[in-house]
Amino acid sequence: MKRKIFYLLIILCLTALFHILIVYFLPTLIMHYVVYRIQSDFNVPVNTVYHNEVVNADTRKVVRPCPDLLYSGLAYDVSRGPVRISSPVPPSYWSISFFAMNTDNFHVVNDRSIRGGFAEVILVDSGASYPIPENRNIVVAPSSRGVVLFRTLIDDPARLPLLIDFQKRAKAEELF
Amino acid sequence: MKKTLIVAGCAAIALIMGAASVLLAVRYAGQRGWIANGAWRTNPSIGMENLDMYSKATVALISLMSLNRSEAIYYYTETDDSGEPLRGSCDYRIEGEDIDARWWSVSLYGSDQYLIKNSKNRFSFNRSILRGATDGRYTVRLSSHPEEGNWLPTENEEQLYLFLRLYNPGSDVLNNPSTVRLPRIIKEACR
Repeated sequence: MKRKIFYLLIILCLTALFHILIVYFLPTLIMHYVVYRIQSDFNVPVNTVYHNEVVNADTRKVVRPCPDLLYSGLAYDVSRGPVRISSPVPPSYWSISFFAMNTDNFHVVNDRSIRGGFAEVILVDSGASYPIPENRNIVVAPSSRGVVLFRTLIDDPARLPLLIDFQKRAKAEELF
Repeated sequence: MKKTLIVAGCAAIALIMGAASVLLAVRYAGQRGWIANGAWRTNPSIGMENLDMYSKATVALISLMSLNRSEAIYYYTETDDSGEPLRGSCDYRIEGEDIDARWWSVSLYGSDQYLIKNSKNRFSFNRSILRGATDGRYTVRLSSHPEEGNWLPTENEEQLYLFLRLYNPGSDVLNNPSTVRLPRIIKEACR
């Protein structure tokens, strides 16, 4: 009897431990899976921009895709050096959003916050041991790895070719 | 050997129970912070950095890569205005007017939470629908059968989900997420 109670207590303690560990690490695990899918589905290495096709019923990488947006993105890794992310800004709602490995949306720039029609961000690691370039567009990433997402609104289907042209000029370069 | 097996069995049971309890916790505790507006629901904390670990786990599961509220606000519903689940076997009328945001759109998803395949390739309606409206109001119909005017095909999906996205929301939406006027969803008939 005593032994059964002992094992029951072990199960309860381990259940509580697993519960906390799963809740805490679930966002990070999901982000690791997203990074893996970006690299395998689009056959691109880290710090390289991929471009999604126009969203339709066959788009099944992420649940509830938005059919009004053109998506591009990249899996970033700034552990070895800064990464320069740039894009011309299209004449429509447009944004670049930065997500840490715990899913936090730590930075956003959009078409209204950019002057001159061209966006540039130098992404660096919060714990960088490398020299940080002097640039007013520095953004510090709270995690060495994460995901950057470009969104371009298709506000008029007639402008789709123009917007796709803008979408495909987004790029990322390793500065090391 | 026997003791090792018992401990391994205990660990396996605990892992299953731990995972199951997480799903329950995310389902119930993760509902904290949600705001209702008619049939629509939103969580103003989505995309923010100061979430507790349960809300963060919920966001990771259902709204991954969502923008923060200054950039976009998301509302979703799986029911009509009377609280009944949205079914592909029923016809609905969505009535609305312009919303205080730079751009808005309403997308329709099926039981699997993906866009519904249809011959017309119609998946959403958005602010551009107002171009044809004389009084700033519009009506959209959800139905598995072709309808005149603005129509989104439901293809008899078991469960439907509507997702309203507001980009660069105005102060009316930011300050009054539970009272700002959103599209109404009225059931007309079921088959």
